[in-house]
Order: sequence, then structure tokens, then C-alpha cells
Amino acid sequence: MKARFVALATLVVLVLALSPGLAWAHGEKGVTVKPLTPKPDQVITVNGELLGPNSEVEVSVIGNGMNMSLGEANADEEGDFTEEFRLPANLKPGTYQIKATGKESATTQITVSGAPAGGTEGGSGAGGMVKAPVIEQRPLGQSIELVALFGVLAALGLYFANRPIRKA
Amino acid sequence: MAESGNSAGGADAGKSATSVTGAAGPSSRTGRVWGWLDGRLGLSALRYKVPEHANTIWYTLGGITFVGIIVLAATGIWLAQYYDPDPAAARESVLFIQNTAPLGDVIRGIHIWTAYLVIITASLHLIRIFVTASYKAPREVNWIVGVSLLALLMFGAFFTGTVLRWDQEAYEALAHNMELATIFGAFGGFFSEGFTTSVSILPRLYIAHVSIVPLLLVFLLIAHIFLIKHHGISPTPAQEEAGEAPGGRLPQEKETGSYPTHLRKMVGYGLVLLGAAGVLSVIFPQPIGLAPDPTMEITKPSPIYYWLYSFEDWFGVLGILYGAIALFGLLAIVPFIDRTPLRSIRRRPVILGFGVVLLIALVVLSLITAFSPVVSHMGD
Repeated sequence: MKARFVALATLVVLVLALSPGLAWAHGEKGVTVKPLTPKPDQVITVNGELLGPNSEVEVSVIGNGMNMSLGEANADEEGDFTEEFRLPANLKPGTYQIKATGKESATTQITVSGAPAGGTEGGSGAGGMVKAPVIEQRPLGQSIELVALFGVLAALGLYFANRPIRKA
Repeated sequence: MAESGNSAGGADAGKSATSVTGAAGPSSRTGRVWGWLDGRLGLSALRYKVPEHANTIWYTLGGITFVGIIVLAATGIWLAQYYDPDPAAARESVLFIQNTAPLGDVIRGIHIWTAYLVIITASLHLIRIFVTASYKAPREVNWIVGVSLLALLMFGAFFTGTVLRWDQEAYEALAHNMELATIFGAFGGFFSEGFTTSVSILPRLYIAHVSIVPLLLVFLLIAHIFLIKHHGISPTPAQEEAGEAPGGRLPQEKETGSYPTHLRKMVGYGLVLLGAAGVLSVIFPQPIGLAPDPTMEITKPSPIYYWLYSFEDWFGVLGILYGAIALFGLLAIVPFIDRTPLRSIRRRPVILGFGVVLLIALVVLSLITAFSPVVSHMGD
């Protein structure tokens, strides 16, 4: 009896833990965007689900004082669509909402980073020269002091670990 | 000296003071301080016997790993004061830590180098247990707990920590994880960008790195340490095969070492680990890569994952899962494969062969990745 109760309780906990993923996978409206962190002027793929059968879906980018339509897509009989849109070239880096509005609406979040995708710096693909971030080096004197400090710490640790035990 | 409530107070407190602190006796200041602390914290309970071999470095590797995890927690707390998990600011905050925050380069370097060293010491600890057959009855469950700890360190802590850097390598690591989440369908929900629209995945992985994974580590460590205390330090193979350890545990009269000595060695060697991480952080500062470009796949993973890269070459992204399950699945069932009563590694040729083949495979696969050019796997 007790074993059955424990098994049932475990099953309930598992179902509750999985339900967010299951809910999204089975029957809730939503929208996703790839890639996660696009650049300005980059093409993104917007995928919407359950936004209204056969509806015309408007896709917008909202954030940082901007609310701009990227275009429209036609949803199928189940209200799903997949369409590509190009982000504005003058989009500033930051977090934005991508909103898909048909008979139902859904939003998701993207983070725009870096220079425009078509630029030479940070560009996608071969040819553009990309600058590595500057890691400042410590002055040599400071580095030597720190190495000596950590070396002494290690030596103290070694001594502490291996010092003879004084008998009572 | 006033009597405490148990036999650990009074004259024993004085003896404790002499053997641990070197003080002259209960009448000395050190003896009085020790007595006060012992009466309130029960420190004398740590003065129990352990086998003599427990105080060799091979049997201290687990404790050194534990000290390393404490160093990671401490340096992680410092780093968390400066890190911003917003994707628009994450990489900049890492650059700030590296270039501007006080001792930022050193603390960040210690954190990352200690992560590598902890994986190494944990792996050496596992190898020692494998060689001395300390996973045999009654310690099979503790072996599985230990393997789970290593898996959590490698795929929980190390992976999420890599992603937090939010540079090109971090993004590519995350992209692999998202691809696997897609394959899992509903069961990959937590790791997919579709899990919620209220927050992006980077802050969620940050929470995993600073809360969920450490909490799981704590639970597993409590179980691991409890089982070690319950079963005792395992006997050596020679002691076991000579019949000196019935039920897998040495009798008390044969335990001639002391736990305070073991603790002292743990702390001492732990300081060596910290010192080594500090030296490495200064001589080999940790880099920060380019801002992530989702259209490129131009980096290799961290060296601890090199062995998985070849699986990805052969089987695609799912190869990562196959490789991880193969390694840790095989490790987990070792106590149930090796059912002989023999302990000496020379007298267990099959399991020795298995271990050697596994180790060689990991090294060879890692070297192949190290010397191969970057291969694009995503979007195949």
C-alpha cells in the first residue's frame, strides 16, 4: 500500500515537472526565433504555432522605443507558420520582443548584439577582419609578486600537509 | 577547568590541545580556548581513528577535490558581484571583471583553473578507487554517487560556466545544447528557448550555475560523505585479500591513523591546489573570445570535452549524448560487472583491461580533436 502511494506520488511529481515542456510541445500558442542573438540587418527565422487557422500573421519587433512591423506571414490550417524576416539595419543592440499577431498573438524575446550583419567588423562569414577583445596585462613586477605569493601559499600547504605529528 | 557535559571536555580537552595545537595543556590560553570551542562545537568528535593508508595522498584526492569545490564557490561568489547575465551585457561584464574589477583577472583565473584542476583531481580519485576496487561491496552505491558527482561537475557546472562567458565558444556550446534539447522534444523543454518567453536562456543557465547545480552538488556530497563515514575508509587490496577486513571494513584496532591528520592533509594539499591555480591564473590568464556570431561555428570546445568531439564527427550532435551516456553508463555499472572477491588490480585482468582501454580511448580521442581542424557540425 505504502509502495503504491510512493509510486503514485512520484508519478504526479514527474508529470508536474514535465508539464511546462509538455504544454509547449502539445497545444499552446507560441513563437520562436532563430538565431538567439541576431545582428541588425540579419535575416531571422520566425516560427509561430497555433496563432489562428488560416490567419494572416503580422510580425513586429518592439523595444527601445521602437515598434516596427517586419512583415506578414500566412498561417496554415493549424495556425502555424515559418517565415524569414530581415531585421532593420539601424536596430540598436539590446533586448527586443518579437510579436506575432494573427487571430491569436504570442511574443518572444531576442537580444540584438554587435554591428550590422552586412558590416566588415564582426561580419558573418569569411573576409571581415574581427578585432579580438583587449585583455589588459598586468605589469611584470606585479605578476612576479603574485606568482611568488601563490608559490609561498602552495609551499605552506605542502608543509602543513606533511609536517610531522607531535605525539602527546 | 570546568567540566563539560561529555567525556570530550575536561582532561580530554587538554590532551586535544596538546596533540592538535601543540599547547602545553589545559592551563594554557590555547588549551582554554580549545576547551571552550570543543565544549560548544563538539570538535573532539572529529578525533576518530582511520586506517593509516587514509593519510596517503592517494586516499586524500577526494578531500582535495572537496577543498577545490569550496574554492570554486568562494571565487564564484566574488565573480557574481560583477557579472551581468543579460545577454546584451554579459560579455562586457566578463571583460570588466578581467580588466577593471579589483584582482578580477586573478580571481577569474583561479575560478577557471580550479575548475580544470577539480575535474583532474576528481578523475584521479575515481581512478584510485577503480584500481583499489574500493567500489566493491558495501560501497557500490557510493561509487554511483561519486560518478554522478563527476558527471554533474563536467556537464552541469563546467558547461553552464562556459556559456556564461557569452563569447563565440560559449555561444557554440549553447547551440549544441539547444540542438540536443530540440531532439529531446518535450523532455528537452527546460533547455529550449521555447520554455518561456519571459526571460532568455542565458539568465536561466546563470541560475543553474549559481543555484541549481551547487544545490545538487551539496546533496550528492552529503550523501557521499555520509556513506564514507558509514562504511569507513576502504581497506587496501592487500588487507582485504588477507582477510583483515571482514565486511569490507578494517576493525578498529587496525585503524591506527587519525582523522585530524587526514583533515590536515586535505587542507594542506587543498592550499597547494589553490596556489597552483593562482600561479596558473597569472602566467596563463583566461581569454575572452569574440562576441558571438550565430552564423559561424569556428571554435572547439573546452579541452575536457575534446573526447566528445569525435563522437559528434561520427554521429552528429546526438553523438555528444551517446558519448556521455557511454562513458558514465559504463562507469556506473563497474561494481556490477566486477563481481569477483579479488581486490588486487593484477588479479583482475578483465577489469584492468577495461579501464586501460577506456583511458586510452579518452586520451586518443582527445588528441585527435586537439590536432584536428575545427569542423562545423550544427545545421548538418
